Order: sequence, then C-alpha cells, then structure tokens
Amino acid sequence: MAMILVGFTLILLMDLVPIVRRRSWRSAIGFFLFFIPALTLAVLRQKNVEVPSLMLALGDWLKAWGISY
Amino acid sequence: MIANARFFPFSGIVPNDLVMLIKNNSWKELSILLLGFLFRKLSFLGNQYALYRKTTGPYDDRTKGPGMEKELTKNLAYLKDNLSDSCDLKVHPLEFGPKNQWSGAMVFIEGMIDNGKITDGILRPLKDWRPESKMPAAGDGLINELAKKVICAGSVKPVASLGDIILECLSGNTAVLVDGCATGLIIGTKGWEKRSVSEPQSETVIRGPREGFTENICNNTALIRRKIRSGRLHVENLIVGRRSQTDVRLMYLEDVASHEVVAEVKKRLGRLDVDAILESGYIEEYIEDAPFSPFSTVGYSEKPDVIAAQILEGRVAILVDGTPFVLTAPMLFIESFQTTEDYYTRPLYASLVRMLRFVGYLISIFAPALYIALTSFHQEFIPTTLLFSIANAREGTPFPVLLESMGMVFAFEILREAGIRLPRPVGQAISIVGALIMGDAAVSAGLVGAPVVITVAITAVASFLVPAQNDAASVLRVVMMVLASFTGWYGISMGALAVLMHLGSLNSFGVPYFNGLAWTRDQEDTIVRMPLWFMIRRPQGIPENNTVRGRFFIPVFRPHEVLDEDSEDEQEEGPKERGAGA
Amino acid sequence: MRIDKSRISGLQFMFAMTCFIQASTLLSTFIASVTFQDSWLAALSGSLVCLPLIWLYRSLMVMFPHQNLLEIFDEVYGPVLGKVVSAGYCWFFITLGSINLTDLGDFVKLTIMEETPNVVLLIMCILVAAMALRRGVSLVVRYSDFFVTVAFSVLVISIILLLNQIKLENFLPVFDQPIGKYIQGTHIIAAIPYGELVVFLMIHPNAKMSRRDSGRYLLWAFFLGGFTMLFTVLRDVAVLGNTLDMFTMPPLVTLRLVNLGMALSRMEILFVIVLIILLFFKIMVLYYVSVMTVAHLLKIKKYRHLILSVGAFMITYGLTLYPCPVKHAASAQETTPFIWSPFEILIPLLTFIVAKIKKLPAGKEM
Repeated sequence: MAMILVGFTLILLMDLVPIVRRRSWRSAIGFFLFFIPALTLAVLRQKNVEVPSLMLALGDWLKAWGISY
Repeated sequence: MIANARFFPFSGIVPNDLVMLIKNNSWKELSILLLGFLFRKLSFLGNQYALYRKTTGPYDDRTKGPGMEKELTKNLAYLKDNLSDSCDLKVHPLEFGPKNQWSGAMVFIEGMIDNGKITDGILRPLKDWRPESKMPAAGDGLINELAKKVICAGSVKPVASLGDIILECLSGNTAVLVDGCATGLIIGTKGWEKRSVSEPQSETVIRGPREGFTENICNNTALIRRKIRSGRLHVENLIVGRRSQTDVRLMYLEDVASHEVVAEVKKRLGRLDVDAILESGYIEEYIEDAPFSPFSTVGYSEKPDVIAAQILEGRVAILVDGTPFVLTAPMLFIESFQTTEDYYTRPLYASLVRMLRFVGYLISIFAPALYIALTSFHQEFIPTTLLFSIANAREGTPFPVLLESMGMVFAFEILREAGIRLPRPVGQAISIVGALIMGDAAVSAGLVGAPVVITVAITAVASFLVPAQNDAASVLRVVMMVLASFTGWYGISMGALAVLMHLGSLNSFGVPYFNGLAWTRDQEDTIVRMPLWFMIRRPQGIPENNTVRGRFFIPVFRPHEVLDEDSEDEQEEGPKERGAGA
Repeated sequence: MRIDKSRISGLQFMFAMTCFIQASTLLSTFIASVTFQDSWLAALSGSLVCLPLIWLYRSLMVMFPHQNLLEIFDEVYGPVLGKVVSAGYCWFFITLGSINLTDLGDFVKLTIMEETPNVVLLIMCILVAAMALRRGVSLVVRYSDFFVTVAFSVLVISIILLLNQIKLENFLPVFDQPIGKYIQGTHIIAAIPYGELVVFLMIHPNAKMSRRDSGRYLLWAFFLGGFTMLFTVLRDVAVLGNTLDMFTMPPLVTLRLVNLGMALSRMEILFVIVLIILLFFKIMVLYYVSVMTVAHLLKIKKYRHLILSVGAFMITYGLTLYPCPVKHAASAQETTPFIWSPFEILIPLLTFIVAKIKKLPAGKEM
C-alpha cells in the first residue's frame, strides 16, 4: 500500500506540478482521466477485490451472440 | 539540557524557553515559534537571493585602462599601481640615442620573458642605434622609427592603452615606453621554462608517433599544423576566464567542419563567464550537452595525431593554454573504441582488436551482474559441473552474493585509485599487496568465494580496454549489479535497454551521439575497421561539405602472383616485359 | 496538428513494422493448439489473406500522407462521429498495449523469474519505455533495425543448430483438421500479428517517405515479418511435431532441445533475450501510440506529462484483463479475433470507401 501511494505521489509530483504551472487544464483532464482509474485499480488490487475483466466480458457477450470459434 | 543549550542549532529561539514549552505540552506556542523561525529563515534566504541578483557581476581583467600620458613617470606609476606593486614586475630604465638624449623604460615580468631576446632584440639595438639622417622628434615618429628600424623581434606593435600594456606584460611580452611619447611598444619576448614535447603518459602506443601535447598552447597549435599543412585549417583565439585570461583556441577545417557545430561551440564558449580556466576539463564541463549523463559528450586526447585525425573528420578541436589535453567536439560514442593504432596497423588485426574492445567493454559492465543473476536466479543455465564448483566455493561465505561482489568491486576501485595517485614504485607495491595478497587471503579466509574474485578480476582487466568510457562503465556496472540482484536476467535486459534508450537520446553539439547499431555506412569503421582505401568518405553527420576523403581505387592485389588458370604465354610475358623495361 | 515533431526515415518505419510483426509472431503460439502440425499452413494462408489488408493500410497512408488515423477519422466522418470512433481506437490501443504488457510479465514469470511479483516486472518495462517516449517517435523506433537483426540472426542460428533434430515426418499428416480450424487459424494470424499494424497509421505522418516508398516499405516489412513467422512455425513443427500444443511456449521448448556436444545446450536463453527485446519494442510502440491518441483526442500539445499516468493505467488495467495465461490463450483463440476485427479491418475499410466516395484527399491536395 505504501509503495502504491509513494509511486502515485511521485507521478503526481512529476507531471501534475508542471501541468498546473502551465495552467493547461486540458492536460489536467487527460492526466486525471488515467491517473484516477489507475489509482483505483491499484488500490482495489491491493485489497484483493476481484475486478471483472473487460476482455472476458466482451468475449462472453460475443459468445452469447454466437460469434466465436 | 542547559549544558547543551549553546549547541542548540536554532538561533533566535532561547533554548530554555523551548524546553519549557515542550515540558508543558504547549504545542500551539511551540508551533508558532517554529513557524516564525522558518519564516525568518526563508525571508533571509530570499533577501540573500535578491542581493545576489543585484550584484553587478564579478571583477573583470579585460577592462580597458586609460590612454597613456606623455610623461614616463606617470605611466610607470600607473603600471606599478595596477600590477599591485608586485616584486616580479621589473622596470628597466633606458637611455638611448646618439647622445643618450632619450630616456625610457622597459617593463616586463620576471620569469615570463626570454632574457636572450631582450638583450639581443631590444637592449643591444637600442644602445647601438645611430639615426642616419635627422633625428626624429619625440612622439609617434620616434616610436615608429624604433618599431621599424631598431628593434629586432618577431612581433612588435605600438599600443596606446595602459590596460593593454598590463595584459601584454602579464602574458610575457615586454613593453618599451619612451618619455615624451603617448604610445608604447609591445615586443614579443615570451619565453618561460616549459616541458619539452615528450611521450604522453595517458596514451601510449606501440606503433605511431610518440609525441604528445605540452602545456604551451602555441606549441600545441604548431604540432597540429605540422600534421595538416592546409590553408583551410582555421585557428581562432578566444580569451576565457575573468582572472586567468586563458587563451583558448579553436581549430577546424573551414571547408569540412559543420558550420552549425562551429557556431554552437562558439556560442557555448561565449556564454561561459568564469573566474579561471585551469584545465580543459573546466571548459568541457561548461560546454557539454548532458552534464548528468554517465557518458561524456566531449572527447579529449593528448596526442597530436589523434586530434589531427579528428579535425580531418570534420570536428572542432578546442585547445586550452596550460594543459596538454585537447578537447574535440562533437564526440560520438564510437570514438572511445577507436584508437589511432587501429589505423596504423593492418585492417584484419585492427578489426579483431576493435571487436575485442567491444567485448571487453560489455564484460566490464555486465560480468558481475551476470554472475549475480546466474548464481542467485538462474542456476539452471550454468553447466552442472561448473555449478557444483561454484556451490562448493560459495559454501561458507557469509555474505549474500550482491554484497560480496559489491565489496570486491569497491576494493578494486580503491586499489586502482591508490595505484594511480601514488608514486610509481609505491603504486606497484600497493597493487601487488592488494591484488595478490589481499585477494588470496580473502578467499582462503572464507570471506569471499573464488568465483567472485575471478569475475571482478576479469571485469577490472576488461575495463582497461576502453579507458575513455571507464567512468561510465563503473557507474553502469553498479547499477546493473543492483538490477541483477533484484530481478535477475530480466533486470539486466531492461537495464541494457534503458542504457540504449539513454544513449539514443543523447546529442553532442547537435549530432546524434550513438548510432552504432543502425545500418549505415558508418559501420565500416565501427565493429570492424575496413581497409583505408575502402573508407573514402568521412563519417556521416559530422562534416558538412567535402565529405569525400579521396578517390576510390583498389590497390593491386598480389601483382606478381601467377594464377594456375592463366595461360602459358601470359606466364612468360611477365618476365619479358620486366626485362624490356630494364 | 502534429504533436510529436520528430521525424523518422522510411527505412526505420519499415524496420519498426517488421519488428512489430516479429514480436507478435514469437508469442502467437495460440494457433498451435488450433491447427497442430498444420500451423505453418495457417501462417501461410493468414499471410496471404493479409495482403489486401496491407494494401488497404497502404492506400490510407498514401491518401492522407500528413494525417494520422484520428485526423483521418475527423476528416472522413466529421468531428462528432470521428471523435467517437477515435475514442474506440483509444481503448483498442491501450488494451492492446496492456495485453502485450501482461504477456511479457507472464512470459518472464514463466521462464526465468518464478518468484518475482508480476507488477515489478511490468513497472520496470513501462519505466524504460517512458524514458524513450519522452524523446518522441525517433527514439522509439531508433533501434528497430538492430532488434530485427538480432531476431533474424537468432532464428537462423537456431535453425542451423536444430538441423540434426528436424524430422520431416513431423509434418504428416497434412490437411488432417476440419476446414473450420484452418479458417480459425487464418483469422487469428490475420488479426493478431498483421492486423495490429493498424497502429502504424498513427505514426506514418512522421516518416519521411514518398508515395511509392510507402507501399514498398510496407510490403518489405510484411515480407520480412511473414518470413520470420513462417520459419519460426516451420521450425517448431519440424522439431516438435504434433506435440506442439502440449507446451505453452513451443519455441522455448524447441530451443531447449538444442544439443550439439556439451557446449551448445540450454539455448533457450537466446529466445528469452529476443522475446524480451521484441516484446519491449512492441509495448513501447503501443504505449507511444496510446499516449499520442489521448493527446490527439484532448488536443494536448505537450504529451510528456501524460506518459506516466497512461503507463500506470496500462499496468493496473492490464492486470485485470486476464486472471491467468490459460484464460488468455483461450480468449485469444476464440473471441479476440472477432473483437479486434472491426478495428483492424472493418473501420479502415469503411473509412477508405467513405473517403473515396467523398473524394476527400483529392480536394485536399489541389
């Protein structure tokens, strides 16, 4: 857990600080679009919460439609 | 508590109060006090920074002094005053002319002039001088007469500024001042004790010229000029260093070197504003591209033939007065693996040695890391018999393998440093004691295993193959060892890829630093050294114009050989022709 | 709007594509358990089927030489629909990158580092790739020719070393499977190594090449990559026969079988090296393309500050994708070709047709 926090704080310091300094809110949106899901997934994984797999779900969905080998 | 009070580092807070506050658990007051202290410290630093920004720059010796006066005594007084009344400033009074009617003075700095030149070039002609026709009047006419007809020296020039006179005197020239004249003469009399040209200690060769640069910059430019007698060889003098006023010279082939690189070098040299340049290392540090990279992006050498070859390839040489090490820019990674001897010996052997150097470099970086990875993660890749002997040797050694090899690498670095710095006989003794006795003792005492000693020894020996990249190799070696001890083979691969990416991101004066793995024409002089007649073009990227070195022709192979398939009469023709020629 | 201004040469572009195909090749052992000893037939037919696909990509590159895929969508479908399609591609690239990343992790864990946690391996890989990404595409594809050379030489060396183990009867019986299996194998080959070349439509504006060159380079890359794939599969089949599907990594087992005297054994380390290098390259390209896609979607000029967060997302997202390598292989055999097909074949084809109908690039060039 500590490692996750340290790692993500480092990313925050390295990238968000220059973004805020340049006041480019578009970059900030792009940054948080990936940063927050990444942090959430990392914490969930740390807590051993099973996150459903998108690829398997898509595969099952396709199989239900009969599109598969 | 109270006894320690005066060692308490916080100024501005009475320690006793602090102690009381802590005892009373009054955290609010305490934090206010500490915050106030922090605030004061910060504002102090801010003020310091503002002061620093306000200063008008450091002292500069290049300021032009006032113009000369007519009276000699005033001039002399100014000179003495502005040369801090030093005792090595010599003022030699003169009286000359047919009736000794002119008085003057000769000013120079002791030890920086050539006594012979002063006696034969200035003193004797002045004493013997008898003007043929009418006497010139005191003033510019007299000075011109002296400069043209009397003084015998290679360089004589009139000056009118006292600042210039000081500068010239400081660089070893002699000033002649005459009473009643507002100009003086500067006579080139430079001459001081200097080391003669000798074989350089840092780069010894088996075959090839043995001369090396000296500390004298004029000598060094001459050494290069003797190798390249081309009118297009451009030499440019710059003066760098506010106090040291060091001569720095750029040398390059005008019609070959890239103008962008030359402009870039000049721009970076012009940007540098320092007190003194004592060695070319100072310049290197100020002009290099990536100061925090383990790889150096400016080349250097002590040998004129190396520098001449670099100039011929289109690089710019930077000579600095007072050091035999000449810098070259731009530098490519591959340069560290090319030695001049590669081009003086025959291509087959040279290519072999080149490959050996690459292997040696890779060993010097990766060998300890591989050893760690193999013994701690991938034992299955070691042949079984070897695995047994390694396991045998490692049995009973107390430390983990990373610590063991780190310790040995560290010990080796200590030994190397000690061996270099100490006088030679002692240095040899150190290396014998260190390498033989300590290594053997460490193994037999069971502190380290013999395989580690072997690995570190081969690493150490291999690192001497490429001395120019030694510093990078020692840094990378440790990094690789750490990576290998955490993630084994994968760590080494990723480390190697990271090094590749870092090398690819480097530029030296706008030229890509590392292009050794691409499929380009430069491969002819990378892992192998093709025959000289094959390499008719200068390396890519460095020269701008005139990229062709010479006309391509293949020398006649085995001209006198008689092939089996050749017909009989051809066989007879050869001797006949030769006979006819004779 | 070009975000990354660094340029690459046409030759580097070609080698990058070759390297990309080779990287997928070495891992695409999925077909081994579909078509067994006839895998080489699937590889061959997959390559042939992909020729029109290569031609499609080439025509898109030639029609829009200065626009990348997202800009082509904006131009062809208009800003709103174009953005929707682009967002789909954004997901596609990131997922592809994540899958390859986890592939690398699984592979390394399987072969050499059994005890190290997967995350550490992925983080190291992403960090090194991020180093390269900061300098733009010129550094990303810089060593592609070297990587291709290494991969080729290892292939050739391994074939020479295995000459004494090759049994031609391993290829028998030929055409033993039901026809559906061949179609499945062909589809997998088309979708996984070749179809993924669509990512290079994001890079081609940075490559300096003429109209004629782009087709030639694409064909050469296709040829070199296909050659590697065909010969890898042929080698494995010739050595292992129809026991091919028993192993998760047939090439690894094949190289382990090298035994020439005492000295030349345990050659699988070569395969490990090549696979780490090639997969790293592929991940780096996909990572780069993902970051560029995000930057283009949000119109961010300085993509540098997105690199690490996208990388962190790729790692955490990748770890959720497949719970174990077996599920991964099953999904790759059964459904993944169908999930990828729209992105690799249908949408580019549709774009090409719509662009032709709208006569888009012609008006642009005039």
